[in-house]
Amino acid sequence: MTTALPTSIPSGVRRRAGRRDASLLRRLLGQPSSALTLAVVCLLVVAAIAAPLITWLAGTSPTTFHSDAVDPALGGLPRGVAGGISARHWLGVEPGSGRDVLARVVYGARISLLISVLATGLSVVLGTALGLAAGFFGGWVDAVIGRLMDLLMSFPSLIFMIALISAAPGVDRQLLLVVVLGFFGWPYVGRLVRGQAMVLARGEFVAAARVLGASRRALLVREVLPNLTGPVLVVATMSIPNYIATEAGLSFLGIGVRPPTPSWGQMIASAVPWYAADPMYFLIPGAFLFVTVLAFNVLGDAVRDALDPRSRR
Amino acid sequence: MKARRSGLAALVALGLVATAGCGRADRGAGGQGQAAKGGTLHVLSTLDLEHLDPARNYVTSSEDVGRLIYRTLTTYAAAPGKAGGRIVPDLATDTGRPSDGARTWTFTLKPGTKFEDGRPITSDDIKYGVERTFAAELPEGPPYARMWLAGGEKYKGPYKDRRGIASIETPDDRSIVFKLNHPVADFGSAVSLPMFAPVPPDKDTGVRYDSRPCSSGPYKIGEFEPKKRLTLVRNTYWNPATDSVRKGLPDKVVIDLNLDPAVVDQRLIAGTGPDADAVAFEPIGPASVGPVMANPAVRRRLVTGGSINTRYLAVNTAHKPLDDVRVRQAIAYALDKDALRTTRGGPVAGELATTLLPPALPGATPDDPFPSQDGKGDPAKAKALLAEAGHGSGLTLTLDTPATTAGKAQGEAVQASLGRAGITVKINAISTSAFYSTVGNTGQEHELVIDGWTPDWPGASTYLPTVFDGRQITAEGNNNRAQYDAAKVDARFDAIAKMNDPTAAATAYGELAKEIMQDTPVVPFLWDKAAILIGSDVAGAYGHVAYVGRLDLVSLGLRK
Repeated sequence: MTTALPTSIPSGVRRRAGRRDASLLRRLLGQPSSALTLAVVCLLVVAAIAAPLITWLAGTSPTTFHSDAVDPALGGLPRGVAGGISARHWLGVEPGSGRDVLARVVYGARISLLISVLATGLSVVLGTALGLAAGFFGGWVDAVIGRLMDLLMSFPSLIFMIALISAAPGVDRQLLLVVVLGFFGWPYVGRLVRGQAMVLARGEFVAAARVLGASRRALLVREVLPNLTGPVLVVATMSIPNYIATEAGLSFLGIGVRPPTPSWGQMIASAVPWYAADPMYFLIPGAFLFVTVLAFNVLGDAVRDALDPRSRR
Repeated sequence: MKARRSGLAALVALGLVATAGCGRADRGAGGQGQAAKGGTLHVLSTLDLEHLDPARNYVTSSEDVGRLIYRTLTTYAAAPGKAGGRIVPDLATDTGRPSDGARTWTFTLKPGTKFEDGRPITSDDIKYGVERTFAAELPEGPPYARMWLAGGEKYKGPYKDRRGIASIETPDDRSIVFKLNHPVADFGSAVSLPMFAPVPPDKDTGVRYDSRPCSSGPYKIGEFEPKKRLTLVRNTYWNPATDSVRKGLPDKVVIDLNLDPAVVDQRLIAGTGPDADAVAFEPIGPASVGPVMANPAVRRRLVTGGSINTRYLAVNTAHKPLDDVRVRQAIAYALDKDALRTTRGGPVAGELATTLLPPALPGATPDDPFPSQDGKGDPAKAKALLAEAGHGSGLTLTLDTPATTAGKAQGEAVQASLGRAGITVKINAISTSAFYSTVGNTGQEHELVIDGWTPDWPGASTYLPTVFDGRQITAEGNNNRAQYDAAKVDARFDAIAKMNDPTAAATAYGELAKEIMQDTPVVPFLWDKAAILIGSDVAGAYGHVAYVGRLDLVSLGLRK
């Protein structure tokens, strides 16, 4: 009996949270703007997952050189109009090598999404665990974790990332990027979770559960955590575009994934000298990066609005 | 060393063919635009000047600039193409008189040559200049004085030993005699290096001489902001009557350093305002080739110069399974030379190389031991050789490249072409500043390296022995990238070095080069050419073989 009562209260809270989640998708689809961004995001994810299928359909690969598609006498400029757009190469070819831009863009999307989603996952797990501990337990735990978050957030993280990645020559770059981005990203999640956890920890339903004898673990996992899903979902959605942009930036600076693995940042970096001779090569990966970051940002806003109607503009 | 720097420094290009004609602008009918005296010539450089101190100046780009400032005993002819490789007298009256079986070399100085302060140039000044190259404080110069002069191994340079080296004799102010420890048939060519320029002892400021060398040529240093700008002004004591090479036309030469390559290309394509009086120092980038070729007016301002530089993919024979000659030959068959050249800008970047010696070098004979259609590689032959060597299931190799856009593009071209033969290539991108120290370290070098070499003068004697002599492999600062060590080849090097007849030596080097190619320690893929843009008011422009096809700065002038 003593155990039955406490669980009934938290499960009620959880159910409420669950209902909110279930209605989230319906609310997102109800708004034309958020439905559109959701569609764009889904399309990108599908394109990334189906990259091998798309290149198979187009009869290309991201690493094959097509020397017949470029004109050596013009310094490797793609033959034909608009960066070599043709029936064979739907988005044109890379100057110099003749590699297919569509294949490189969809494989690049895989890298961008994989790294940003994994880095988001890492920062959300770390940030939620540590933020929850800090907010719920308070005292010295809060002091230690709080200072750690301050320290990481005051770090010039981009410079540190560049130094760290350059200093680890033999390590798998994709893994390193995930770890580095996730490690520098968790305090932003942690701060938010800590604040929310502090409020929730003082909530009546938590006090009730505590009075009824629930263990600390049960309080954390069954009372507080379920109520954090909303805000955490919003930060996660907002941090994905952030990581996509950071990964592209690091690749642009030459410390992203290793060639010949395609990445949007590297494509943009190698397109810089060609901006005048072959603007399409610059515009296509740039447009993909822009649309992706924009779509995820708008989606993040839409998720927040859907979860918290009071903040709707 | 010369060559390696010429290789990295951007997309140098050179070639062999060397006709300057390709793009010379003939502005105006019949005007021919003869260069007139006067005006300010601007040189837009994407590079920094490594060293101006003649004792340390051993990089093709700085040597080109150095020729404006100081004179040497002999120098290259001021001519386009192969003719530019001819050695002509400069401060000396001839190209040297050998005796004692080419162990003793005597030069006589022309009368009436002066430093920028009006003092006559004496043989003691030349001797002092050579002695400075022994000083440990002034590293990076050519090693020839230490290697060749009798007693050179013991001499520590003029700062430690004021008495000087006994094997350089100056019987009078106009005569200088070099006593060598072994016969050197082409010593007359070696004295064209900046280290044989005169340095007045009282003007020597040691390490600081690098930023203010004393002029013996048509220009002296006006102002020098390192890494930014070098302004050269007339040396009024330079006497054109004594100088058959330098024209000394502009009143002032301003060299802007460390500019962005794309900016230089854009400025010269536009060519407006002061940029009409400007020339580029380095070849145009691949991205500028299209816009230049598409515009006839700009295309006329493109000057193409040949070189004696050979670019190759070095195959590290010290790593298994590259010790097997069949695997190395498979790589030679698989390599798509045309794709590599396209990443460097296509045909304007040079000719596809098939032999070790570029055609402009004496002794070079046409050959193509690993033929393929249009130089695109022959993956089928490569696969067959790999299968024969027991690697039919594939092979994984690592390629060292500089971490630049151009370096990565070349790396990817190698990766794609060897991939067709079942060889997986991993790219190890090394930061530019650490590149040569890494690949020159036999413990850190991987299986494949893209490299190249320009001999110090047109001849194989400062190329083949430096790059392929097994006894020259050193743990650090190694130039034998293939770590190629064949006793038979080393013995031939010794035999050729003893020859007194330069023509016979050249032929012997040519034959040896063919034999080395059968062993395939390197796969030559490009003989560089440099396509350089000049402003519409610039006349007298041609690419010079000695400077990797860069413009011969001493001949440039502005039209009136």
